[in-house]
Amino acid sequence: MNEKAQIHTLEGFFAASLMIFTVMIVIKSSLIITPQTELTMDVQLKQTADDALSVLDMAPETAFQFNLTELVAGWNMMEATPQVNSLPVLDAEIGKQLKNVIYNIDFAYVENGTITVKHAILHGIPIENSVVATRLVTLYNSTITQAGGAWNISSSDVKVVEVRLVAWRV
Amino acid sequence: MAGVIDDEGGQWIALSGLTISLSLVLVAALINQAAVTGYYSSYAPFEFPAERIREITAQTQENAKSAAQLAWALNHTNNETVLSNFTKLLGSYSSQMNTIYAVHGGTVNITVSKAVFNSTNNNIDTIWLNISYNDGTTRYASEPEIIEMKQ
Repeated sequence: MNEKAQIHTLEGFFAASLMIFTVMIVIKSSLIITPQTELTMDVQLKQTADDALSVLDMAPETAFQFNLTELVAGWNMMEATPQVNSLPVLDAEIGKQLKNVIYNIDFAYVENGTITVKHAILHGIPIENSVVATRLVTLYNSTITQAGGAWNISSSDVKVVEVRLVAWRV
Repeated sequence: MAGVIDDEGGQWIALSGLTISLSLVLVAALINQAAVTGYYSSYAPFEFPAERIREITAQTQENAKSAAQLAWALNHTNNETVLSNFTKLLGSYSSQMNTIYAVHGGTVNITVSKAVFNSTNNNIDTIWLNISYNDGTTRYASEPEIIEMKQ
């Protein structure tokens, strides 16, 4: 029997076995789902939603017919339902900026010392990964009269409204 | 059997196999740590309220200018001075801001520090406000925030 190179062969077999077991351990211990990918998408969606409200609020008059303050001032104070949209113009403007994104818009304001939140635009029920962008607008009696809204503010008072845009992707 | 024990060939293969295996384990550990680090670094933009602070100051500046104009207009219809009308408007604004921000876990306080009037028409030219924000983690104060009405 030829006994040459037996250790050589055994050591090569041992090295190969060691590498196979190592690769198996590495594969089993590695994370398959990387969390930063999901969070990166959330951050991007929040930035897009923030930008949508900012653009509508701060764009010059030549860009939009009505800015965010005027659109909010023109609200008829009727809460939206999935069938009835109480601010179609705002809905259209936001819809142009948020493509392939589902959103709701709520108005939060102070009434008799407490916060009141009402739906202005309702497209669905937000999912777990939805993001919220907020923007404040200040309403005066003159702005509301000009916009034809139903807000009840005296001529010597001011109303601060927080516009909440809840957005998510399906 | 003595021949097998004395044969020293192939030792480099075994050693290099061990080295490569240990390197693979190290790389796997580093990749796992990178995933955890990425989680915390992605959440960092959510934590610091830069947008909220920017919004408070921008909204207050815009509202101060509108309130000054309204206060001057109200002066012609009621017995209150321009400063008194302005202080009431700003007080209402500050109270509502505080209530709205309280829902998000923060407090906002805006008060009038000083007003400089136009000697010709008694309108407000410059207003000095004290703006402060605190959400328990971040505290911001702009004291004074000087707003010129002519801009």
